[in-house]
Amino acid sequence: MTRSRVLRHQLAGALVVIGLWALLTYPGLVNPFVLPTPTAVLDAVVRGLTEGSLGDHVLRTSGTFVVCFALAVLLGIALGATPGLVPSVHRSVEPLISLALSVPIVTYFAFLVVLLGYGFWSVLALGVVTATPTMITSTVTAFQEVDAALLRVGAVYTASRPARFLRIVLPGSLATLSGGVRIAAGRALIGVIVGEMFLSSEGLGAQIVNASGFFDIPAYYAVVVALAVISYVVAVVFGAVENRTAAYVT
Amino acid sequence: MRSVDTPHRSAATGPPARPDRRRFAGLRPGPWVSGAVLLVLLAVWQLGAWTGLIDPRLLSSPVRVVAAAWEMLGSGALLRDTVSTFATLLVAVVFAIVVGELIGLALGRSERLRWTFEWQLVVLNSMPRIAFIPIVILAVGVGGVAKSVIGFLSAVVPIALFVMTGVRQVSPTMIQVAQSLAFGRSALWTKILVPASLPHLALGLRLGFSRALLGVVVTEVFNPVAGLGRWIALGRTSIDPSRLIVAALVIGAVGTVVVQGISAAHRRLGGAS
Repeated sequence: MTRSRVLRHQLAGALVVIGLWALLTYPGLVNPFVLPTPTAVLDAVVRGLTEGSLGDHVLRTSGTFVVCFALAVLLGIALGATPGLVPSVHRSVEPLISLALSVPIVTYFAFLVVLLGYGFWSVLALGVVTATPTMITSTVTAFQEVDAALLRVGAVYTASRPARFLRIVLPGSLATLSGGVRIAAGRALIGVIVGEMFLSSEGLGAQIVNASGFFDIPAYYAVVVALAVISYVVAVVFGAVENRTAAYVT
Repeated sequence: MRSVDTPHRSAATGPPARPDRRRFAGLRPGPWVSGAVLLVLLAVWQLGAWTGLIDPRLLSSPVRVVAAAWEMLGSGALLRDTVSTFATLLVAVVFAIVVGELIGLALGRSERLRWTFEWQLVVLNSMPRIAFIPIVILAVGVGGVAKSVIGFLSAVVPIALFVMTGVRQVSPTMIQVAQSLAFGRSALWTKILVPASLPHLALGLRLGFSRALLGVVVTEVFNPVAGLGRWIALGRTSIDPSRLIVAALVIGAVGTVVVQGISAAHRRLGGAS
C-alpha cells in the first residue's frame, strides 16, 4: 500500500522533470544548443548505442572504474590497517593522512602525464589516488572501533594474527568500512571521469569533452545520461551493501 | 620534543604488545613523525634534483617550487588568482546554503515532496558534477558565472540531502509539545525545525564545499581564464610543473583551513563527530 504510493510519487516526479523539459524545449523557449528536446537526446542515446561507440565507452569507463575502485579499497585497507590498530602509529601518521585527503586531485595531472603519459594508465592512477585517502581514513576509524576486549580474547585463545584479523577485526569493522567503501566508489568514479576528460581520449569523460567540443549537444547529453545511469547504479549497489552490513552487524 | 632521556630509535614501528621496549625509548611517536617523513621526502626530492637522478625540468624540486611561489607572489598573480577562485567559490556556496536549506526543509517536512523529488537528488548526488562543465560554459559563457554555477551545483545537493535528514530526525514528540504549547506555524519553523537542521547543514556544507572546490578548480582547468586552476592547466602543457605545485599547495591549504572551520562550526552547533 505505502510502497505503491511511494512508487506513484516517484513516477510523478519523473513526469514533472520530463514534462518541464519538454515544455521548455519543444516550443523553443530554451536554446537547443543548451538543452535539446527529450526526443533528440533519446535519439542520440539510441544512435550512440546502435551505430556509435557509446556502448564501448560505457564499458571502458565502467571497467576502469571497477579496477580503480578495487585497487583503492585494497590499498586503503592495507595502508589504514596499522594506524587503525596501533594508536601510536595513528598519532604519528595522522597529519600525513589528512594532508593526502586535502590535496586537490587536479594536482596529480602533470605528474601523471610525465610519469605515465596520456592514456589509460594515467586515468587508472588518478582514479586510485582519488579514492584511496578516504578509504584509508574510514579503515582507520573502522578498525579503531573494533572491540578491544574481543581482540584480547582472541589473543588469550592464541589465535594467530591472520585469524584475529579475519575473524575479529574485519567483521567488527564491517559496518563503518562499507560506509567508506561507498564513498570511495563515488570518489573513484569522479577520478576516472576527470582523468578521462583531461588525460585520455577514451571513455565517457573524453566523450563529454569531444561531443561538446564539436557542439554535438544531443550526443553530449547522451553521454551525460549514460554517466547518470552508471552513477546511480553505483550509488544504489553500495547503498544496499552498506544497509546489509549494518543489519548484519547489529 | 623536550626530552631528558637520550633519544633512542623511534618506537613508531614497534609492536604494541611489548611495552617494555617502548619505556626506554626517549622519543615517543607523535605527529612529529609525519613532519619528519615529509622533511625526508623533501630532502630526497631536492637531492635527487641536484644529483640529476630526478629531472628537475620534469618533476621540479622544492627549491624551484619556492622560487616559483616567490615569483608568483611578487607579480601579484598568485593573490589575484587565489581571490578569483575563492570569491567565486564563496558566491557559489552562499547560494547553495540558502537553496539547499530551503529544499532540505521542504523535503524533510513533507513526505509527499520527499517521495516525489528525493530520487532526482540522489541521482544528481551520485553523479560527477564536472560532467556539466561544458554545457554550463555553453549556457552562460566563460568566466566567473560558469565557475559559480558549477560550484553551486556541486554544493547544493549534499546540503539539501543532509538538511532533509536533519529535519526528518526531529522527534515527533517535540513537534507535538510545540503544538500543544500553541506554537504558531512560523514559530515551529524558526524555533524548532530550522535550528535542528543547522548541524546537518554544516555536515552537508563540509562535503559540499570540497565538491564545489573541485568543481570550480576543474572548470578553471577546462577553461583557463582566471583562478588557481589556470596554473594547473598551464602546468599540464608546459614542462616545468613548479607553478602547478604552488597553485595546488594554495588550493589544498585554503581548502583545509575552510573545512576545519566548517567542522568547528558543526561542533559548536552541537553536532556529533
